[in-house]
Amino acid sequence: MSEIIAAIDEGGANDLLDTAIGTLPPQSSSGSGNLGPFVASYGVTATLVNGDVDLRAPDIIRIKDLRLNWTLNLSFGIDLSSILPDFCIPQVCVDIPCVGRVCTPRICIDWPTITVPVSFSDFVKVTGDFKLDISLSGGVWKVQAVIVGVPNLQFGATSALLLAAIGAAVTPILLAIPFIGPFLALAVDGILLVIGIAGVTGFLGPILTPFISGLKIPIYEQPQQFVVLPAESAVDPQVTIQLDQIGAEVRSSDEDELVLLADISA
Amino acid sequence: MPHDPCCDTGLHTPERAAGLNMLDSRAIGRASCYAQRFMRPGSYAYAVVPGYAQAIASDHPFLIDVSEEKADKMAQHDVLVMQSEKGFDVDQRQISIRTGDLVLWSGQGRTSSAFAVVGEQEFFNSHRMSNECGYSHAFGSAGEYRWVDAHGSGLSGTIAVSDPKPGDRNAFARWQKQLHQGNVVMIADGRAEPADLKILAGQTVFFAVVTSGGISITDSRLLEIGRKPGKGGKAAPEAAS
Repeated sequence: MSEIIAAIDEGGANDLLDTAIGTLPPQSSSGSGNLGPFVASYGVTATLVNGDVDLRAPDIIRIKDLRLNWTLNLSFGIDLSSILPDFCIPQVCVDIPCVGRVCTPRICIDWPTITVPVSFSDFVKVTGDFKLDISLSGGVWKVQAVIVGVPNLQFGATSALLLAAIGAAVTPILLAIPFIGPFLALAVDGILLVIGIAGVTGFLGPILTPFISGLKIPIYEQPQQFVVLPAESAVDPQVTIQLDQIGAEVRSSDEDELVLLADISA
Repeated sequence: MPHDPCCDTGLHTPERAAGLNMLDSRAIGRASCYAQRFMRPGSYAYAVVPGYAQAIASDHPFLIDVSEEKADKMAQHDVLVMQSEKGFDVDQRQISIRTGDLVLWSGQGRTSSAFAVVGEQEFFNSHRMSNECGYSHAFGSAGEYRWVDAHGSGLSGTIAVSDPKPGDRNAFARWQKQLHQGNVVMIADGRAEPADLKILAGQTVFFAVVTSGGISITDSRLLEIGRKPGKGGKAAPEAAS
């Protein structure tokens, strides 16, 4: 039987995890990924917001609707000649009075490569099961909730919204290109078509999943030895307690509880 | 699109594409041409240099031989301007023509920077067009273009370019057909006729200079940018306001 037992119900666990998740700093990553046929470089920052805690004996904390807020800055290049048909200004002949006929040559336009920067923010909700992980490292006991497995992020409308943001970002860039006017709609449609919803989802999944898949939420942290009463005098020294063993579990009786157990010695 | 590695160096970006399609006869861009008629027999040496750099043309390696033979009808001779790491070159370094013939220089869309044709004689210079010459420009973006003479003669005009907005295949085909229609602005005795012209994006205007004291056809915004402190040398976008 442990010397110290502390227990909180689901409501308490919810509050505890609200606080614990709130202390997690924003996470960032950068790199490159495939956005359909294009290679996009990106930087992404994400923060977490707690969802609804469901305690499941013997050792699972399920968090429903854990929310990942993210802001993505991405940039990718498009060789427009791979999207648009060749275009040539035909030979043009004019009759100049008292001179004669003058003709310009056929002039073909090579479409340039454009760089499209896109900024986009959204969130994704996920339900994840967390296991309690207890460790003693460097003289400190730690209890953490560690996510089990790799959750499948469902982007749904997000992909369509990001695709629309790409369309909105690409249009003013295209407008600056001479002779593209009549091809503008074709170019935008072509770019969005080759990326597609699948391309966006395939891009977002690998860059956002790591923010969830390796998630560890700190629940409790305490030095193995700590002072409970300070020294009062030379004959009244400080009182120290040692945490010999820490345990954590989910118990289910009338209601589900998150329980922390401690064995101590003086 | 067929790509000629000899003639297209550097990264081709929208900014470069716009910069290469400016309305300015002092720098012949990708969709522009310069033409000159030779009304007297003789040998006319010339150079092709980067746009605006006519002053550095000390060497005139190319030649036009104009024979005394006078044709009943003016003939046109096309010279292709090419670009390599060493600079500009032409496909015919020496050509023989008859008196009254016209020579037209064009990069045919393949040069990666604008150029100027600079003859030894003063009359023969795309930077400052004098007599019996011309400049053509295909307008790539809709908008209103006010052109002026950058050399200060006061000559000016406007080209209103509208977006064809071809909504379907037939409209697109119609627009492509309309691209064959040329438009002429005649410049003589200090006047441009017509001074104002309406065209569709993609169409070409040929500015025929019959007589002048040496003019350019220049988008007025390029001169405005040149006058703004700290903005010298920055190219105006090809698209007009």
